[in-house]
Amino acid sequence: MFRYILRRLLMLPLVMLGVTFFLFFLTQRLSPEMRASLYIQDPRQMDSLEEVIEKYGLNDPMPVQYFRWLKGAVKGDLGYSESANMPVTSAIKAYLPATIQLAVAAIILVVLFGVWLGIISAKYKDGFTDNLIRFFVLAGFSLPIFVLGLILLMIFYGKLGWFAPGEYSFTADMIIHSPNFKTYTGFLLIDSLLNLNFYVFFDVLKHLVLPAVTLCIGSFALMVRVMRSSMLEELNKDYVRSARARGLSEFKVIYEHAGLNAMIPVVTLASIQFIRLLGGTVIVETVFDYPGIGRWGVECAQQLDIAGVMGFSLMVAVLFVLGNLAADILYTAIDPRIRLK
Amino acid sequence: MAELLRAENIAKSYVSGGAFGGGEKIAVLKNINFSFDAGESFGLLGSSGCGKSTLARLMLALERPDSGKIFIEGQDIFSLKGRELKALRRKVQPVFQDPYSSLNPRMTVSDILAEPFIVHGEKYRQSDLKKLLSQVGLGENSLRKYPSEFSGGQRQRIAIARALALKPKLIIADEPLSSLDVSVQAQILNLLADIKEEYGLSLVFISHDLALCKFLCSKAAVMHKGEIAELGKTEEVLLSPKSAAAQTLLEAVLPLN
Repeated sequence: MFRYILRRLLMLPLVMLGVTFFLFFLTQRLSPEMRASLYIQDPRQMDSLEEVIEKYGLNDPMPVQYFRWLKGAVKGDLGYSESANMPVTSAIKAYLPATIQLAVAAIILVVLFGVWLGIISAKYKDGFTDNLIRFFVLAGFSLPIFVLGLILLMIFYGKLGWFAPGEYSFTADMIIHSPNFKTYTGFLLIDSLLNLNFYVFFDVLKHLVLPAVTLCIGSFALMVRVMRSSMLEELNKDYVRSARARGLSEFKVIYEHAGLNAMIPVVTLASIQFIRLLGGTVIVETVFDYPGIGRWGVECAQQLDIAGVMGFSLMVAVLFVLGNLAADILYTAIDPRIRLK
Repeated sequence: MAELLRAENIAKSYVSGGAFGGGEKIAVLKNINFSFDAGESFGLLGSSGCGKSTLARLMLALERPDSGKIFIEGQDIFSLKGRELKALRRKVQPVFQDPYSSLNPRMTVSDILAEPFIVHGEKYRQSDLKKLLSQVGLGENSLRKYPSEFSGGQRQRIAIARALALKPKLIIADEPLSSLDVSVQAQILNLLADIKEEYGLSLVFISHDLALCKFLCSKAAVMHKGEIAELGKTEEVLLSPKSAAAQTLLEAVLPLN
């Protein structure tokens, strides 16, 4: 087990090297002038284009430039993100917690309701409840995320005024940036609790509702479907039949015996979906003006902020590897038959 | 001897296909009548698809028939609810065909054997579990293991031990040997015979092999297309089969000499 984890972690640098090399190669397809334009804010500065290219070595051969970037990256310096107006590492540190918060909230909703609806759907297979669940889940899945997000905003912000966009309200912003509010983890939900400031906690939570719901609707369909079919398979096995014949309550048979065994594919799916959510918050964060890593990634790409794009991709790649590793470890916890070698 | 189980005019049908309604009704069981006494074992024979397993699920009160009744110790099992049904469950225990799916892979052998006691609110000690294991010929060190660490025959032994936990009066064994290889079949067959003697329990032995049935059961029924084609003492059915279905089954077994 330990050796397995170690081996997987040793793979991590190789994955990182591959991803960054490929991306760097792609960005080099843009001409030096285009890449230099990032540093120019004013048309009057156009004359200094050559100077910028010279200064940052944008015309050097690709391996030289990649090596220069790599040398910095190894030292923990990923360059300066012009779009965020801070070093890339600081930008990731600033934006990542908000996104993780959002993705965690969404994946909790997906797993809880997905598993529950999947079980109910399987229990009443082909009945009215089953068809109802399947219809709504598929309808939610078919709706584009940005349309759904905008509709939710229209209703719950425009009409009812319950949930506003953004990460927190103006008042909360003042509190967070006051000297009394200490930052411990960067996760506002945790920090607000540690500061015993429940106003900020509920404010942040309230701002999380709409983006999290929007995010999870898209992932729901797959979860319900996988849980339903996995559950149907388990319910048809003899250990379920013999549990019933032993006189176990239907609740125990369904949730303890069949349910837990049916959860095994859900674990993989959830971990893959979680990583997808982290990388795929781009649209939701843009719609809800949520200052997370996805929105920053979009800005980087739009402004040709190459250091930012590289940092963003590197981070997603690392998360992907770690997420899959976590899924493998979770497996052994949930299924005693699996031993990692 | 007192009568243990009596089935009266059992009929059961399933609706097949038709996601949008209008599925076809298929009769799985028709006009099933039989009975046997306590301590007696009953063989249920027939080719695959003849309704044996459906009948087994009915006797376990896992499903309900369209019409007809099954009495166990004089009680109509389909009229029972709640506490009475739970009491019945103690008396009748299953052993299924596929030992790879009949044990919950998440539970250790100890959990599996302890569950019947817990469900029925009975106290048990570790020694009870060990005794159950030794009765089916497994060592104490098996308690901590998971089902996946055992072979098919060993798993079937665990399933039998689980069925024995509450000292049932009737064990319904639905083709308990057919997914095991021949040498293991003999062991499990002997085990079933020993247990039958020791506990004085009845066995409904479902199989498609007449010879195996003769070893265990005094009475047998041959089923064909959802009906009982022949019913009588096992030897009579074996030696002078009257129905075509029984003859076909007999001919299907290769003669040893």
